Amino acid sequence: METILFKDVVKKYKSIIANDNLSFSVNKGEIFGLLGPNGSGKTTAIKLLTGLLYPDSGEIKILGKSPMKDWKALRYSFGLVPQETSLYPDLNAIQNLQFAASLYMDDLKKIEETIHHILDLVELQNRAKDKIETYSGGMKRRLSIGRALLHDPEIILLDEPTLGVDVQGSHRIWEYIKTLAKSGKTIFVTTNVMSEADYLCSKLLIIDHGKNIALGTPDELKESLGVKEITIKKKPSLDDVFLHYTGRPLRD
Amino acid sequence: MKRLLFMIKTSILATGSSLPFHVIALLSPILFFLVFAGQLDKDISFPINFNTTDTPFYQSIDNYRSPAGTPYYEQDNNCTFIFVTETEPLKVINNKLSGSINQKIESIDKNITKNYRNRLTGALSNFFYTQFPEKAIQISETSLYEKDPSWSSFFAASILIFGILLSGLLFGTLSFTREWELNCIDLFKLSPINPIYILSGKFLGSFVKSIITVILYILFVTLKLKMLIFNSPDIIGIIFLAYFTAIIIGMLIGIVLKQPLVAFITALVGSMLLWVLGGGFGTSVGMAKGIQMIININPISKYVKLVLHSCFNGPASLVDVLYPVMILIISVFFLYLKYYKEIYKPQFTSVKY
Repeated sequence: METILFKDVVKKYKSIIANDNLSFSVNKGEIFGLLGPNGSGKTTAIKLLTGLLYPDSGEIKILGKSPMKDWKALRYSFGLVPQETSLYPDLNAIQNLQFAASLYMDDLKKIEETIHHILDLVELQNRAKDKIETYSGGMKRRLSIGRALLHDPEIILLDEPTLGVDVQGSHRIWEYIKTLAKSGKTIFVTTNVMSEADYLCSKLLIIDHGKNIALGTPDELKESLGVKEITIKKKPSLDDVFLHYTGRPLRD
Repeated sequence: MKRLLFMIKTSILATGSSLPFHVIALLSPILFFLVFAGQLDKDISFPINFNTTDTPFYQSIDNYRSPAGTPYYEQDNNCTFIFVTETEPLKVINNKLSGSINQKIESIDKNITKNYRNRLTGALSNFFYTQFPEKAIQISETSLYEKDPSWSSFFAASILIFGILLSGLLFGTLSFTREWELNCIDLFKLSPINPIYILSGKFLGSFVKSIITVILYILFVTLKLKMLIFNSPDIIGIIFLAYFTAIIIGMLIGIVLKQPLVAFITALVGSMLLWVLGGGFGTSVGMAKGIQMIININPISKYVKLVLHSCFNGPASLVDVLYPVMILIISVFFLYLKYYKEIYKPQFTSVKY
């Protein structure tokens, strides 16, 4: 059984179709990437998965349950890393995690232990008592990932997790994500950073205008372009694949 | 318990980002008290330029004083807008007061004219009474209170309710607008925890800050008045009841409004209007019937009555307690409903599942 199933999902905002018969499935322990330009419907897909939005039609299942019907139970099953870090700037890392724990953890007996474990994992132990307003963008992202792990969910949903983070910070975040996948967690990540998708994802779906464009592993997608037709001797990069499928005009 | 403690801690520590609003909530009732009560904490002597100073009436004016001993009139030769001339000396003949007095007020302020006229009428009555005490009309006054409170004490008690309204509404409102502002609301939307815990945590965070605010107000008022007017134990119950309602309604507003500045303005204007239309300035006797009706149905008028009862033993009935309790219960119900529909439960669209 798939951990996540998204079948023929349609979501409209008045006349705009954000997800247009979007379909994919994610298996346990997989790092699944949803790749698309700005406004292609990636964040809408995440909101539909979490139950923050309801679809107009189609079927969504998480661990075999519907986010529309079983939303209470499913909220323990996933952790969301939103596009904006959504942290309290006046509080330090421990206080932010304590507050999030009060919203997500049923049992707070081992809260201190859990928080220290998470701070170790995201390498913020030495800055744990500093206010968030003194953190860099990368540190905030790492703490935001740590916060999503507090209740030990089976699925982690990351909405553009390295947005605004430098190269070093991005690579460190990718390592955390890989570690989480190795520990058996299912990862669903949206991105428009090709190198991120290439390095991180075991399966990728390229979407544009809310529709499925291409699905496969990064290598399969690269192969799908036909290497012989490209004059450069090296293989096409995932950027090439992406631009081939979605075109070059800006989408702002 | 730990959950609630974390929420209270967050609420207090996150004050920094909206510190100016918190300072205003603290200072507003204190400044209000200083403006309205501080300037009235002593009886006022009206300056008067009395042109004829050698008549018995003028001599009696010197003894025309408030119960505290402050003269109602004070001769001021430099006073340029009020002149009183006794053109024909006042006398009492055959139990009748006769004579002629010209009062010239060079001001177009009707209020000043009325106040001077009232005091002159009082001075004439006083003069007549001193001449013929056995013939004077006896007036028996029955006060609303056992002992009439001074203006400053009355306002100190009444403004307590304004302060509770402002800080309660504002802190309750900010507890949610901050989440919208920091984009933290999705954390609440995805929380699996029962909304009762979350709403209780938010409420208690605001309540702790509110109690600090009211304690500081009471301390300031006590120091300024040099007496403790909030000395009855039931004042604690009144403060709690008023804060419970104000914070709950504030939280409800915060879920709807989403923006801190709009929330602040709403809390400030709302608390001011509710307080004024709740009889915060005193009795509604003599006001238009429509205004009296608004004051009667406004629950704030009940809080004002309860505080005045607690401080000065003013009249109050069981309805004055039950009505605010009913408003509180209704507010709690609507807050839970709004939170459940707007935040806890996922958003519905066209498809029914």
